[in-house]
Formats: sequence, structure tokens, C-alpha cells
Amino acid sequence: MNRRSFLKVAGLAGGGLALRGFFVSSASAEEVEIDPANSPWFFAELRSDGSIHLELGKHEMGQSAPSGLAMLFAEELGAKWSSVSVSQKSLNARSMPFYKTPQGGTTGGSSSVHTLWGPMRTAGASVREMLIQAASKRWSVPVGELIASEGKVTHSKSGQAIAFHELATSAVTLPVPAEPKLRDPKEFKIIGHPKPNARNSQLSSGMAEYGINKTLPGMKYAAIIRCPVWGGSLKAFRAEAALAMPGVEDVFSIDGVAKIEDPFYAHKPGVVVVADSTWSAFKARDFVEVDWDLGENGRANMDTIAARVEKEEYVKSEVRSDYGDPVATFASAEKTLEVVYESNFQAHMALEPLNATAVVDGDKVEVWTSTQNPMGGSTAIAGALGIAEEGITIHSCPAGGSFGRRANIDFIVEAALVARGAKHPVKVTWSREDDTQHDFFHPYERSVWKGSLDENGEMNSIQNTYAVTGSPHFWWLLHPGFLPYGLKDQKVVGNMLDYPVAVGAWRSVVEHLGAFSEEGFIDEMAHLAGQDPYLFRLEHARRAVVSHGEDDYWGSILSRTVRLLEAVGETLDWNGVLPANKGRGIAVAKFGSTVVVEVAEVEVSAGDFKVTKVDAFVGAGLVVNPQLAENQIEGAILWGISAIKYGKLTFENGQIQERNFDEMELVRMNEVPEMSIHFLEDDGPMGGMGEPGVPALAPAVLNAIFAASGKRLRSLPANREELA
Amino acid sequence: MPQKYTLTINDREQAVEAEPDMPLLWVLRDKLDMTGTKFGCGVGRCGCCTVHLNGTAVRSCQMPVSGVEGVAITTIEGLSESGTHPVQEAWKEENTAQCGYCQAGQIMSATSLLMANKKPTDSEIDAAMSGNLCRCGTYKRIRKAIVRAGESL
Repeated sequence: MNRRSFLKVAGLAGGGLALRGFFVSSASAEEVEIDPANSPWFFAELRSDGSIHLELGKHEMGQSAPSGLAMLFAEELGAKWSSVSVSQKSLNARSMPFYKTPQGGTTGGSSSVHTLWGPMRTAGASVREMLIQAASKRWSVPVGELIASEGKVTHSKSGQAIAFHELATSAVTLPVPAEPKLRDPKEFKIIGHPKPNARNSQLSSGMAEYGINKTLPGMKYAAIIRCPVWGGSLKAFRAEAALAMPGVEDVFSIDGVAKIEDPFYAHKPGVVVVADSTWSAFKARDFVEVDWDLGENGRANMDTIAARVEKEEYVKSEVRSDYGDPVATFASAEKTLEVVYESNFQAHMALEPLNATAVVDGDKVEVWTSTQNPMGGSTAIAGALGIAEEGITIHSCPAGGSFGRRANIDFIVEAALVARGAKHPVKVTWSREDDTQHDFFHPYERSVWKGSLDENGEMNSIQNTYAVTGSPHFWWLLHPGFLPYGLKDQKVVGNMLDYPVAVGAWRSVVEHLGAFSEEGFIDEMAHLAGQDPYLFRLEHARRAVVSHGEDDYWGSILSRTVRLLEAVGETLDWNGVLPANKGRGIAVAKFGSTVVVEVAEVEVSAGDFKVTKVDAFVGAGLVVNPQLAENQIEGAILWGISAIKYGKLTFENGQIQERNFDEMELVRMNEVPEMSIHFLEDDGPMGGMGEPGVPALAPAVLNAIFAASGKRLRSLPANREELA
Repeated sequence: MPQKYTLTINDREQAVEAEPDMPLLWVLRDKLDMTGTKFGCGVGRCGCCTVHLNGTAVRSCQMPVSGVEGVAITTIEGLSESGTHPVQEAWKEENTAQCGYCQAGQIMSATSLLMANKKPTDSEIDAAMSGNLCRCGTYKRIRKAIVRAGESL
């Protein structure tokens, strides 16, 4: 494989550096070799109009991670934030070495900004140093007399200044410094400041280039009838009626993945309708008769899962923590509690339904879609079509939401198979019904908690055993507790149930499952002890810091937790009197290194509840962009309310029964609570922002419902009938 | 059988050929390559497809093309060619969008409200905007942007 990339550098009128695909102008061109895996010039372009464009490896799905990464680069470079634009670099043979670095890979886990904190700053600083070196040569002045700021290199002694792009063609020939000097955080002008998303204008015009908007000359439109049950297979189909419908051009079948292993790399068998418009394809689909062998999952429902739990039919088990002797402590304790919590399947429901547009020409495939996992998509296409990855290009468009769904590769592979079968460029569009029915749902989990109190009313043992649906390939699924409460006798055991319906990663993934039951249970322990649930948590968290210390990673997380809990008492009137039907609840959760404490106020009525206020206290170390971070936490709170209040899905006959927004509801404008987000910065480990606001919401709400009504609800979504 | 229709979109006449029941949403997106108006659900429950018919916000996924001849249709593209309509400017100032997919529909609903009422109360905003879903949860800033836009109109 040819790993060497050459950049043809042309002397553009007005300076500037065009990088994309080896620009060659009519002027004489010099060839500069750059290493896609190690050169900032591979992804940073200093344009002749003074703007800076970054083509990054991370995916934009509304979480604004690419803007965050661009801020790190722009700060170190010394660029004006308003001059920076970002997009995602296409994945192909040439960019694969770049995608194999931490700049590429999968986008997810709220990890982009904090894992690339060092690399992006280093990249920006290295470009700064190369530009300064180039200016130093041009002016024959020492490097130490030059500064790079506001998009220019300036020599204050002589009053000379030159825009970055005018130095670019010289700078790019210099060796990339391996350890450039980074700026002092005290001097940050961009990082740590509220800044608009780099794509702010595009987003407000509604003109961002979503995958669903892609068109190609000669493009056809396709819709797919997929096997409605996980693991089922296609027996036969009859297309005569569909073929007679307006605009329909072809109907054929595509195979599912040869063997279902990791669900993230599986796609379903289907019957494809190809037509001259999306509408024609959707309509004609209803007239295809398909015979499926639904397989054993065709009879599955919640009783199937309950039976597996009852019989302890697990496909995998792991002891996630095991300290002391919680069984003995529990057996001899003064007061004990045993409770069961259940989290049900939840859908992603991103507003842009899944879609992908593909063109296949022999062993060359080009796909336009939104994906958190272009490398996975590329590998899956190669496998499904029996071609080499070298011929595959994946263009990743900004997504109209993803929340984990677009980390699966199913919709990418399908489009390649459809384009091959249709022998034309094709856009495959999923209807809302498709998007729901063929989701990879937030898993089901049943969690049993046993806790005990000593004679002082302090927790002295916790045991948690849970059963969660998933695949043994989901190495991340059997989660530990967070439990920042200093328990010396603690055991957490995770058991995996085989999944009768597809499951995957849903915004905040296992932390959502874990925090839901954990913080409901902790609240119940507080009430068992006859103590205030806020003070109970604070005192236990303080005790944890005292016994563990603050010097290691876990200690920094524990002390962060204490500071956040203390901030609750300093900021809110926790004990303030509320009207009779209102209650206040608190919950603590962690996602990665980000700790979040949420306090919810909820109004309870007969058979219903309304979240009226949420305060979130967020500890993530340094906050790169307070405006965009606040946006994420507020969005996460609303995401959480939708899940606890409206997320109910019915699982019967191997299928989730709900299909569209006439059967499923989401939080709307008229139900938005008052929200205040409080960031507490510290010098501890940096955490992410996209997901951490979610896990604490549901338990805070249920704890508030208990405070308001005396009724303890233990399921997600909440069973509102219990409030009648 | 496809029929010929003449539609008035953003003050221009557009000739299209489509099945009579094809929703205006898909005529815009697939026949006219006007992809600012978005598909979200197809059952009129998400608001992503919102356009104006004679200035009133409607869900274009529920409007068969055969029913919209002779009506002034305004899409997001028609608010401003440069994306600088006062409502869009307010959206930018409030850093409203996250993924942005719902925002064209949100802006169309908001503009229709503001054209009739520059100072909507909170419940008037609720009533006008609760048909537009936002899965990213940007509602708080949508409300702020509406109030801000109203002040500048």
C-alpha cells in the first residue's frame, strides 16, 4: 500500500495553501511529501481568503465535538475563531492512515475533545512554529521576536505583519516540530470562552449538508423492507403489484450479514424497492408481499426475557467489584433493604432518519452518509461485497442527530448492496417507521440492590446483581457501579442476557442503566436511615474521600463529587418548602471523568408528573466551550425527561410495536423545565459533555416524585399509573 | 399517472410533474432539489417539514401537491437567500442549533408566529411551537431566539 502522500503546493495569487487532493494551478507546483498520520497539513488548510479550514476525523452529530477540536487548534495556532470552519475528512485509502490515529476511529463516548486535547493543541502549535519560522526567514529576524496571533505573524520591533496564509507555502516545506511549545492556559482567548459553533450560520439557515440531502446525477431512490425480527431470514417475495406502481423501476433482495456476531457489524436481509422518488419507493413498498422465516425471536416478548432472568440463563457474567464481605455484613446488619429496578428498551429517534447514498463501479464504492464509524463501514462493505477496502470511499456528512445509532454500520452496507443491485447511484432513505422498528435499542436491564445500615445509620454494605440484554461482543456492557460512597463491603455482578431484539449504544449507554437503579436505591437507603437524601449522599461521599485519599484518579473523582455536592447546598435552597404536590430529588452520576449532580423539582398529579426545574452541577475539569457545553447538558436533561416520561416501547412477537410519533411521544416546547447549569472547574481529569447530563436525570426525577407523593417508582419509563 | 402542476414557491413559478398524492415535502426535496425542508416522520407530528402556505405554517408532508397550486408557498430558502432573515440572525445570536436538522422547520413555525404577533407570550410560543420536535433539546434557546427576533422585527 502506498503510504506516502504528496501535497502539490502551488503559488496561489494572494498566497494561501490549497490541500485538498493535491491542488495544481497553472503556476509551477512544488511537491511536498506529508505524512497523513503525522502532519497537521493533512487536515488544516490556510486559504487565500484568510480563512482556516479543518477537515477532521471526528463526526458532527450536534454534539459540536469538531468545533471543540478546532478551538484547541485555533488557540495554539493563534487564529481568529471567526475565521475557522470545519468539516469531516472523507475516509479512503489515502486518509486511512489518518483515520487510524486517535484523530479518526469511532466518534463516541463523549471522548473526542478530551482525548485529543493534547494532539490538537500540539498540531496547532506546530503550525504556529512553522509559520513563525517561515516569517523569520523571510524577514531575517530571530524567531523569538515574532508572535502569532489574530491570524497574523507580527514583528513588533519593525512593525511588520503578515497573514498566516501568505506564509503557508513556505511553512509547509519545513519539518513538523515534534514538541512545539504550548501556550499558557492563562492566556487562552478561545479555549474556556463561550464561542459559537463553527457551523453556526449553516445550522441556522437549515442548509447543512445532511446525508439525506445528497443527490447525484442519475440517482435512484430506494426503500427497503427489512426482516421485522432480529435473526430472521427471507423466504420469498412477490413484486408484481409493486412493479406496476408509478415510478418503480426494480425490486430485488439483499442478503443480511452472513453470520450475526457483533450487532454493530450486522445488517438485516431485505427486499429493496428502487424508484424515481422517495415517495414512490415508500408507497410501492407496501405492495410487495414478503414471506419471512422470523426464527425463534419471532415469538419473543417481555415474558421471554423474564423467563431467562428467572432461570439465570446468562450468556456472560462478570464480577465488576468485590470488596470485603457484603453478604456477611448484610446478614448481621441492623437495617436492610432489597429492591428491584427495571429499565426498558428505548429508541434513539434522531430526527434525521437513517439514510445512505451509494454508487458502485466494479470494486469501487463511494458512500455518502452520516456515520460515527466510517472505518467500520468500510470494512463491512468490503466484506459484504467481497472487494478490497482500497476502493472504498466514505463521505461522512453532519448528522441530524445520532446519539449512538449511527455507530452501527447496517445502513452503510445496505446502501452499497442496493447500489450494486440497482446498477445506478442510489439513495436509500429510511422512513420514520423503519428507523424505529430497526433501531438498536437501549438495552433492557433488571437490577437487584441489597443494602444495609450500621447502628449509626451509615451504609455498610451494598450488593448489586443485574441482568442486561446484549451481545458478548459488547465488552463495555457489564458495567460497574459508580458508588462514590466509600463502601468497604461492596459487590457488583453483571449478567448478560441474550437479546431477542437488537440493542446497541444509546446516549450515555451503560451509565444511564447503572445510575438509574443505583441512585434510586441510594435514595431509598437514605430514607431507610431516616436521613435527608442530600446530606446522606454528601456525608458518605466525604467519608469516601477521607478513606481513599485524593491523590490518584479515583480520588480526584471522589473529591470532585464532594465539591459538586457541596455546591448544591451553597447554591440551592435544598430545604426550601415546596407546595404539597411538588417534591425535590437529587442524584449523582458519572460518565467517563465527568461527574454530574442533578436536582429536579417535580409536580405530581393523579396519574401524571411534570418536571418543573432542573439544576445540574457539572464537574469535568476545564470546560473548553462553556456555551456549547451548557447546550449539551440542557439537551441531555430534556433527553432524560423524554426517556423517563415518554420512552415506553412495547415488545411483542419479536418486534417493538411503536413506529412513529403518533405512537411515541417526546418532550416538546411546552414541557421544558426551568434549567440552570453550574460548571465547577478543577484541575482534575478532563471529561466530556455530550452524554454526562443524561444518567442523573431519571433517578433525580423519581426521587423527587417520592418526595412529592411518598410513592417510590422503580421503572424506566416511570409507570405513571402508580401515581393515580 | 403523473400530472403537471404549477407551484408558486418563494415568489417564483415552478413547473413540476408528480403523482397527485405526492406530498409537497417530497416534491420540494426530490423534484425541485430544495432540501432545506426536511423529512422527519411523514405523519405531521415532528414539524421538520414546515413551510408556509400564504404565510401560515403547515406540515408539507400532509399537503398533497394537487392541493397547493395557486397558493403562495414559502420555504426556508425563501426567507432569505443569504440566511440572514432577522429570525435566522436571532437563532445565530442565541447559539440555538445543535444538530440543526429540525431548525428549518422551527424557524418557519416561529416566523409564521412572529409575522402575526411580534410579542408572543410564553403560552403563545408553546402553542405555536409545540408541534416542532427537537431531539437535541434546544427548546430553551428557540424560545429565547423567538423573543429576541420579535424585538428586532
